[in-house]
Amino acid sequence: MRWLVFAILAWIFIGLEIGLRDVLAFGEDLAISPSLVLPLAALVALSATPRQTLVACLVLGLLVDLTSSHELADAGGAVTIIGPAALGYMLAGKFVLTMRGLMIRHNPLTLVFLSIVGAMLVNAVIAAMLSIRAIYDPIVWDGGGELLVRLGRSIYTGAPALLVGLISPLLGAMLGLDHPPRHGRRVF
Amino acid sequence: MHRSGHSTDASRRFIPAAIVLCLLLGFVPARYLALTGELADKANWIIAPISHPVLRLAAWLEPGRRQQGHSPEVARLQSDRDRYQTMFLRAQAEIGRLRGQISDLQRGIDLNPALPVRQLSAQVIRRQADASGRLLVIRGGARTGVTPNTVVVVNGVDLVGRVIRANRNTSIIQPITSTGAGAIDARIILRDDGFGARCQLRPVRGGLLQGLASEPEDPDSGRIEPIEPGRIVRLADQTWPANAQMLIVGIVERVDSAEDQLLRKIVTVRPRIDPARVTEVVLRITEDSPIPSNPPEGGP
Repeated sequence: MRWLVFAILAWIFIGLEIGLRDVLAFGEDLAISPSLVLPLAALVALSATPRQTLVACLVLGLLVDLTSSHELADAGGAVTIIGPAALGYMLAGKFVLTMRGLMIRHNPLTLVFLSIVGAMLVNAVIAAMLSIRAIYDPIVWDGGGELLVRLGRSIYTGAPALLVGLISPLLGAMLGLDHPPRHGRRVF
Repeated sequence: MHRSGHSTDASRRFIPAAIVLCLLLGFVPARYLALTGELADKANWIIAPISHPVLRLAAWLEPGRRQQGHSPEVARLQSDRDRYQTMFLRAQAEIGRLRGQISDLQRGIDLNPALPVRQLSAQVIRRQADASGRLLVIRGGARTGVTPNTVVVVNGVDLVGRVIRANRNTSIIQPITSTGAGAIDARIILRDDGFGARCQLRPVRGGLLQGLASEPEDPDSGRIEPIEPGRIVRLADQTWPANAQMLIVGIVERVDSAEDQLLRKIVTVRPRIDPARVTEVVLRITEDSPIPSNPPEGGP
């Protein structure tokens, strides 16, 4: 895999995710918005070696963690928590690695399905870790509301995943992922 | 190409080590996470060149969600009116404060003098919208004199919120409508001379603020002044910096009767500018906040 191209794509995708969030968002407080980074993680995981996949997912998850802030109650400030998204992305990457042998890799709908389920896993890990943290830390956290919002976000992630799926041959070639992985199982 | 045994072992241990580290960091209490704020500052600085242009493009592309405005001339006149009214009300509040200060000084109590304000324009580089709150990240931090509690406005008089964390290059703003922002004291302006009703507003869902207010009695005529939708609400909260007083919090959108308190009304206020939609803000920095002449190492 070409890591420099991956770094540039990660930078562009996270910038687009942050910038376009409000345009694409809907629901109460416009809280339901899709993830653009997760389809990139799923695309990498579909073709890269297991190790490359986990490292790429770790990097993307760390980027998401570092660009998210959590409010502390009673105007107590904000905190950046490293870990929840990183672990979630690695779990999603592992899920794609497990599933990719059963999927039709070049079908854009494959990326849609894997992105939606992957986003659900990421959000489940984030929600679980922040719910535990809310027991002893004064973070502003509405567990029930967040679960619903995050479920909506996960499903909505399928939309950008379809677009990424349509250009996946181009992105795959740029990333050097157009060949079957050496260490993983051969996919279609 | 084969790797050496040592590097292969290290390579194998990298992923489990990263997982353990993420787990540990994920549960470290917030008070020990100062370093992650600095890392986030670097990350925000790196993504700013792409996120801010996209935010601006997004704001331009969504006319349906933009504030409904009048003609440019009317908008300019309204802006001037709001600015002068803010100056007038602030002068009134200042006179009241100085009278109190004179009274205190006469009793031998020394108070801080009023501080001059420097205004600094800053780009919004990231917005976050969760069910639990919404924060803004702006380009501009401790290097340019931003400190926690710095007041943030748009259009000169519309209050957005305040800085809750000032990193080296970026700062995090907590809008007044954010769930974690807590209550603010405000005054609903009922007449042009500044006469109004005090209320305490709390953020509620939908980017609104809500609180109880009593309809005040005019001391001259004895008439009760009703609180009606459309009235301007201004900040009158002593826990906020002096330069934030009388800034516009929003407009009264709804007035409902409080079931258990017959003499009070439930007032719902909508900010004139949705904090989640601004792409540029102005920071009101008090001049006693020194700009570090020799910033710490490690930044660009």
